Amino acid sequence: MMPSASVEIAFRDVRVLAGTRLLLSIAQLQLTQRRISVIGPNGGGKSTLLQLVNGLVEPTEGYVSVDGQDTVDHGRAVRQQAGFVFSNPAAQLVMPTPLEDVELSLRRTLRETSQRRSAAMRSLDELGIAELAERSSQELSSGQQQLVALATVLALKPSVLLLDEPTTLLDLVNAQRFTQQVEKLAQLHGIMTITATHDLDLAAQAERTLLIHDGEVVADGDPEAVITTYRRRSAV
Amino acid sequence: MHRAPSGVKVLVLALVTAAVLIARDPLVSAGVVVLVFCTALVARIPLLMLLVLLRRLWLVLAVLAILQLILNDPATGTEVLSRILTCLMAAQLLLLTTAPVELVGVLRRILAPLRLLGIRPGRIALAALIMLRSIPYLADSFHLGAQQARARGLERDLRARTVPLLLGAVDHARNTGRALNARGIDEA
Repeated sequence: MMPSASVEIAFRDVRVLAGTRLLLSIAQLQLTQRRISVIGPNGGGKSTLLQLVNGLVEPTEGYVSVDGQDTVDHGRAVRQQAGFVFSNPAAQLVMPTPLEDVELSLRRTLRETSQRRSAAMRSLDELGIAELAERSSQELSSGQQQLVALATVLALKPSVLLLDEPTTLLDLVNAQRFTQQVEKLAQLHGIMTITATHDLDLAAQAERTLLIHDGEVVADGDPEAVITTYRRRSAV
Repeated sequence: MHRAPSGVKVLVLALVTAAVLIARDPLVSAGVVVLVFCTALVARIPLLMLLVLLRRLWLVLAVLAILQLILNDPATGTEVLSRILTCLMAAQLLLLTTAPVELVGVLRRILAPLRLLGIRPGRIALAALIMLRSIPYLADSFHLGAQQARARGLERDLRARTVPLLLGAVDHARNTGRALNARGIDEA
C-alpha cells in the first residue's frame, strides 16, 4: 500500500465543457496519496483537473469534493484548504513587497496586525526568503517571486497544495530550489501535493501519476509505468 | 516630508489646490510654486525631478497655451496656465515623497463612507493596487512587443505593435484574477 495523506479528493461523473467542446471527462477518481503528479500534452486538461480540485473551475456535470466538501457548494472553505500555485510568478503577487503580500493572504484569518506581520515573517523565513521581506516584489527574480507566491499560499496552512507547472518558467537552480522547498514543507506539515508538470524527472518522484490526454485520464498508477506510456504515445 | 503622514499630505494638497483654483491670482500661484520648491529643497528632492513634469507634459501644455491665446487674452491665458502648472507641481511633490501603497491607503480611508452604500472600499483599493502593479508589467510587454515587431520587420505596423500588447494585458489580468480568487482575496 502507498502511504496516505489525511485528505481525500473525489471526482464523480465529472464533465467540463467550454461551450460544446469537452475539456475534461472523469467518471470516477479518488486521490489520497501524499504526492501525485499529473502529466500529458499541452491543452490536454491538466490545468482543468487541478482547478477543479479547488473550485476555480466548476464541473459542468458531476461533483468534485475535498474531504467530503463539494467544491461548488463550499468553494471558499475548499479554497482555504487547497492552495494553488500557478506557473506565472508575476501574476500572483499584487502587493509592493513580499511581506505585504503574505499579510494580504492572512487578512481574513488573523485580525491583529502585529500577529499577521509575525505570521507572514515566519512563513517567509520557513522558505528561506526572510531577507526578501521588504524588497520590491517586481524587482525580484522569477525564482524568488515563485517562492514568495508559495509563501502566500502556505501561510494559510493548506492541507492540499496544487501546483500547476510551477517550475516551467524557472531556470534549473531555481526550479530545484522550489521543488526542494515544496518537498520539505509538504513532508513537515503533512500536505498533499498534486503537481502538473512537463518535467518527467519531477513527475517520477511522486507516488502516483496521472496521464491526461484529450480530456481523459488515459493512464493512472505507478509513475514509472505511466511515464513510459506517455513516452511511447508521444514518440514521433 | 517623506515621513509625514500621507493622509495629511493629501489633505494639504487638496487645500492648496482649492486655494489656487479659487484665488485665480497669478501671484498666489507664484507664491505656491515657491512654497513647493522650498518644501522640495527641505525634503532633499532635486528640483529637476519636479521640473521633469514640464518635459513630459509639454505637448498638453503647448496645446492649452495656444487654445488660451485663441480664446482668451494673454493675461487670462497666463493666469489659467499658471494655476494648472502650480497644481501639477504640488501633486508631483506629493507623488515624489509618498509610496504608492500609502496613497492607496488614503484612498481607502477617503472612500470609507461608501460602505454605507454597500460599496466595499477595500475592493476599490485592491483594484488600485493591481493597477499600480500592472504598470511595470505593461511597460515591459510594450517593450517586448516593439522588439518582436522589429524582429519581423513590422516596426511601422501599428497592429503588430498593439495587438500582442492588448492580448498580453488581457491574459495577465485573467491570471491575476485567477490567482487572487485561489487565495480567496477580494479586497485589500
